[in-house]
Amino acid sequence: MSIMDVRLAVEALDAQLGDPYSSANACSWEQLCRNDEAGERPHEAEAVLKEIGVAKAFVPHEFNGLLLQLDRLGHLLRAVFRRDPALGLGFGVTSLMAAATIWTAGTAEQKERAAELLISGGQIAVAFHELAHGNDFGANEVTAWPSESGFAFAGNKSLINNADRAELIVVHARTSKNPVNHSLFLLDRTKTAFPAGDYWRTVGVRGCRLSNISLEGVTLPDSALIGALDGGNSVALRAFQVTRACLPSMAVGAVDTALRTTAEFAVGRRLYGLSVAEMPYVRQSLVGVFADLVAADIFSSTAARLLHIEPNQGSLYSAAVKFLVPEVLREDINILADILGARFYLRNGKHAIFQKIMRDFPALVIGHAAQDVCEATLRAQLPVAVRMDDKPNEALQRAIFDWNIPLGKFDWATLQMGASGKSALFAALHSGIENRTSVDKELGAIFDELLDLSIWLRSTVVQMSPRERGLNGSALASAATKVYARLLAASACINRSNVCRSAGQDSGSNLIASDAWLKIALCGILGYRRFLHTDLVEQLNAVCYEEVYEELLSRLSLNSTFDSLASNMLPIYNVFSNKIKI
Amino acid sequence: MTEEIISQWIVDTIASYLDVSSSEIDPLQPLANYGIDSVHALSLCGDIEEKFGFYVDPTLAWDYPTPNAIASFIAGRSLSS
Ligand SMILES: Cc1cc2nc3c(=O)[nH]c(=O)nc-3n(C[C@H](O)[C@H](O)[C@H](O)COP(=O)(O)OP(=O)(O)OC[C@H]3O[C@@H](n4cnc5c(N)ncnc54)[C@H](O)[C@@H]3O)c2cc1C
Repeated sequence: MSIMDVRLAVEALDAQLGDPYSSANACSWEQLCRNDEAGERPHEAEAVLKEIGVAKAFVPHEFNGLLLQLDRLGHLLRAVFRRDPALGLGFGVTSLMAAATIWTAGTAEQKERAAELLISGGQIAVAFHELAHGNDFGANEVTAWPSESGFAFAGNKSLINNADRAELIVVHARTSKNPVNHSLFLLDRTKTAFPAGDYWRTVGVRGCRLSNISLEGVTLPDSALIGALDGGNSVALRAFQVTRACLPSMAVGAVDTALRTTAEFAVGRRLYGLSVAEMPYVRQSLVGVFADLVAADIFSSTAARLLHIEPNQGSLYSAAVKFLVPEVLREDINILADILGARFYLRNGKHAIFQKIMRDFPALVIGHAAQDVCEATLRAQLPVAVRMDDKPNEALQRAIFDWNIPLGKFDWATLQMGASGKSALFAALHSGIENRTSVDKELGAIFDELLDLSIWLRSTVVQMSPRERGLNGSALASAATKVYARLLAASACINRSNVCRSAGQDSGSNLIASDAWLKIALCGILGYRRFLHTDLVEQLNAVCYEEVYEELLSRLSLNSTFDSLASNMLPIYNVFSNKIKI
Repeated sequence: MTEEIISQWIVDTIASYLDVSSSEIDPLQPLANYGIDSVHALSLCGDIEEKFGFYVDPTLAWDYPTPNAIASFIAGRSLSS
């Protein structure tokens, strides 16, 4: 399936979700804001997703689903996140997390059951969190022990999305005294009935229902065990690499809508005799967010492709994406809020979806491996992270960066807890820079900066004492981790841009092929745009911003998405509507 | 490399994580007693791969809780590969 086919699939999905501007439509921004105001689940929008069969995207092909390639999962689900991040989370993401553990380690029977439930539009809850332990799930206290009929349980889980309605629940429970020895169980509500507690009230994602569950007195048969006894944390740390890479890719959709809302406002509003978008600061900010959004798409999609190609480094790539992308996108939403002025604070009117996204977005970030946890994962493994071959394998690089090269079905068994081997993405920073043709002065200066940082990183990591990489790591180790994640993002952008240059067939790839976008995106990755007003940034303003701004305006007027697909959000045709494939 | 040398290497490595002298780590005591956490376990995997050339899961530190137990596992793996 080529990238063109992915675009058609996304357009087919958008066609079925209907016009986002039409208030009568269940999946319109206005209706979804109304659901949020009422603090209710968006039942009608969920019914549309169910009717379309969106959850098939979470189910591997061999179990009658559509899931083959992980990068495409992000691209497709982004369409739902463009409507409403809470809809994406409530309908799907926690089900995907739960299902990932089953695809990684479940029995054939468990996989069939999960697949059937998801395809019929049902949910699977993922019950890890305990109030007392948060991210430190190795300390979780819900306990399971062998009993006559299987396993008996004690303890409580908190803040579990969909715990009130999910027919299946993946439960994380301690099965031994050792800190790493928890197990995962698949609880089937149709066989073991128990109630969920009261709902937690939240600031954002108000259409999601988070509640506590009590496992006191619950017993489950032996067949409920997912994977090996005491192997639960290993399963989780492997399976969640997929969600850590894919969730930020989906979240790009929320920022797409935030940017669209803001750009529409800025172009339309006139002050002092000119449109707000004509003011240089505003224009540069809009362009900066647009460039970041494309970079976030490229970085997260690249990491998802790498889970197929270099699963031994998956723990690093997925943590780097979850560490960097949500942070950048969250800053971008704040920048857009400044432009929207008072409107970012209003809960009705035509910009209301913006404040909803602003409230919802942080929940996507907290919910699943906090930024600091991802940083710790990277920091501990820095020596492995910077290992690279001097001469990268060309075929491997093509498979990573040429998105038209199919990767086949994802093999969940290949994931491993820690990283090993060498990093093709890190090495590709150098080859990507070498392979770029006709590099002008500004781009050359940015490349030099990236190369200097990569030399600094490698020498710093070599000299770093192991203690500095620990849980109480040093500030230097934290800085090295940040640099590492940003260099990976730069490598992804440069190499993808090189591929688009050699192929360049459509508007999405023309933008990515351009020096203008690449310079602005790399300056964002390096943190220049916001913090340093150097000559370099001055020059960029003049040379590049106009070019990328033209593309932004064109996408706005054509209702095209701002991500690398530039798909049409309001397709007038519906001919592909029954052919969603990923 | 003998098991004894490997065990000493583990002791030295763990001591460097905790910033204590190697004499403070007993090769027969479980590492958990010294406060080895999941982040240290991840570091240990990377260091073992660097030194011995094969990947081990971070659960190693719990499956083989003492430096001597890890050493005998590594010696076995080295022989078989
Ligand atoms: C909208 C929403 C939906 C949710 N849905 C679910 C669900 O369906 N299932 C479920 O199981 N849970 C769910 N949760 C709970 C979620 O899993 C927890 O919020 C998450 O585990 C983090 O725990 P915590 O918020 O208590 O943070 P804590 O772990 O207490 O963290 C506090 C602070 O310490 C930092 N920190 C933690 N660990 C480290 C580390 N290793 N290194 C450095 N710093 C660290 C954190 O970054 C943070 O700044 C949901 C939460 C929300 C908000």
